[in-house]
Amino acid sequence: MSRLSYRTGLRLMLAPFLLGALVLVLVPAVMTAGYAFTRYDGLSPAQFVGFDTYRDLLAYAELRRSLAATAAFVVLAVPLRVLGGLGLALLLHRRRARLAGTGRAAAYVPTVLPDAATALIWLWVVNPVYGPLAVVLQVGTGSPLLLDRWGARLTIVAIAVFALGEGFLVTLAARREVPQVLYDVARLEGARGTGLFRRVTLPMLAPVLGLLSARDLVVSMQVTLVPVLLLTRGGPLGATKTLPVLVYERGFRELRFGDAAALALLLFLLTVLLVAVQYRLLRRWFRAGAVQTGG
Amino acid sequence: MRVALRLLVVVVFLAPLALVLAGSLRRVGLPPPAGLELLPASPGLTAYDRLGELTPLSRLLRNSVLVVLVAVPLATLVASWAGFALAQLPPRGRRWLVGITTGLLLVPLPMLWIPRFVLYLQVGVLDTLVPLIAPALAATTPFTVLLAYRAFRRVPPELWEAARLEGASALVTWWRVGLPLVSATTTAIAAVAFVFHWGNYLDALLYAQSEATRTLPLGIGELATVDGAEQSVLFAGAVVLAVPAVLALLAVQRPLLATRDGS
Repeated sequence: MSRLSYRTGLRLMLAPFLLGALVLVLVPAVMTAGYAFTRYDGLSPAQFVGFDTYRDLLAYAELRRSLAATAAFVVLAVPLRVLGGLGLALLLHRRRARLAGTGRAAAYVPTVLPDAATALIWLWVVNPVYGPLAVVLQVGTGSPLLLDRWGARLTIVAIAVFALGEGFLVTLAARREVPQVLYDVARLEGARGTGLFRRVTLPMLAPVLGLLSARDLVVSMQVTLVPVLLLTRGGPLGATKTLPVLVYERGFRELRFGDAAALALLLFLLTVLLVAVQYRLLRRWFRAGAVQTGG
Repeated sequence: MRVALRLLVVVVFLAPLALVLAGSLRRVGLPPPAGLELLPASPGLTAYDRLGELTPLSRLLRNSVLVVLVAVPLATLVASWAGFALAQLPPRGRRWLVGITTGLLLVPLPMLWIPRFVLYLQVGVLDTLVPLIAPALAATTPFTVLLAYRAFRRVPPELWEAARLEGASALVTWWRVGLPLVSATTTAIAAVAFVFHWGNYLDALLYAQSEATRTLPLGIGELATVDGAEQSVLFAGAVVLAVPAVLALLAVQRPLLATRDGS
């Protein structure tokens, strides 16, 4: 029996993942950056066109509309998802409190539902004739919600907000790691209710919330394609045609791979830019963990 | 007060699914309900029969099950191996590779669509089930690798050292010593992979649209765009898709959500 050294064995066990990540993630990402400067349809060889694609894209109103749709989604979805996850974590973190365990499981359910199932459920929820929004709350009766600019946008946002399980889970774990003694001390000093939240919970969770909002920004820039295709198809009048939807249409409907790659690269660069801006704005938050009971 | 709020959370997050489940039992052919119907008067399974007529349900199911049967063990294995190896690398290489793995989480998926299409086209696997299984080669999401890494890092390194001194190979140490100690995390990884592959609409849409390879999400999702499909049939479709995912969640609910031990 031939024997490999233990160290070599470890490397071999790491290899499948590294190879998979290289072939399916890293190389494709670099290729997209290359395709962005070509005209390419997947069949005939790519032609280098430099910045022409970007010049053309910027000349059309469609990109501007798409940026507006993306911005509307991200600006609403990111804070709602992060703050929603925080609220749920604070409400449900106790191990033995009544309904906490059931609540944790329930809050995670929409996150695991397949996109197509979620879409079918929401199509019913917003149905203007017999959907619960129309029947119970009298919202959107008369005109279908999805044919309204903001109605359609808010529906896509709502779908993303309900799927906040990942952030909820991370915040939950962070909340459970806050030492109880910090709360005891703050209580001795007379803090109660929101005072405890301001002096202990928020400063202790700040770094996690900072990281989560960065991660959520990245996620929110790219998750809209399936709900949009199944519910609004980008409409009405492009109100929900976010950047991923535009990438999909250019690439897979019109087979303009160069254009699609250029848009995908733009999406990536915008994400990097936004995360950098966000980091500057929330810099204190990312580092606040060291401050302990900030007060 | 807090209990009332928790009850509200349970209701808000579960009510839609519960109503959809109840609605799927409404018989096909009845006029739509007036108002919100909590449970249909004479429940039956005719909506599921009708679903089978509107979609090639057994073929969709077979394809989806096939994908999950291959992809979930594969992703779990790849993630567990990678996490095990990462946890024992010397600090410098480890920090580097963990950094890269975390960085992979930041690559927007739309960056990958076109090159993956070209890759699958050139390898000749477009419109097969391969593109739906392929993400498992990269552990489905870097998140699973990081989960495995964190779990193996919590194991005292003396245990690896002991196995190694006894002459066990890395693979044997993983199987005999490592894996039994992190079973909760391994189950969680399998669940994450299952939820992704079972519900994977996007890859099916982009790379495996043909009749023969169509999976459940695509087949059911299509109902959303069919005019005149009855509501109870749409509900039945949502239920068929949703139930396995919810069961996967319940299977890991304890380690993932209740105790710190397994996350």
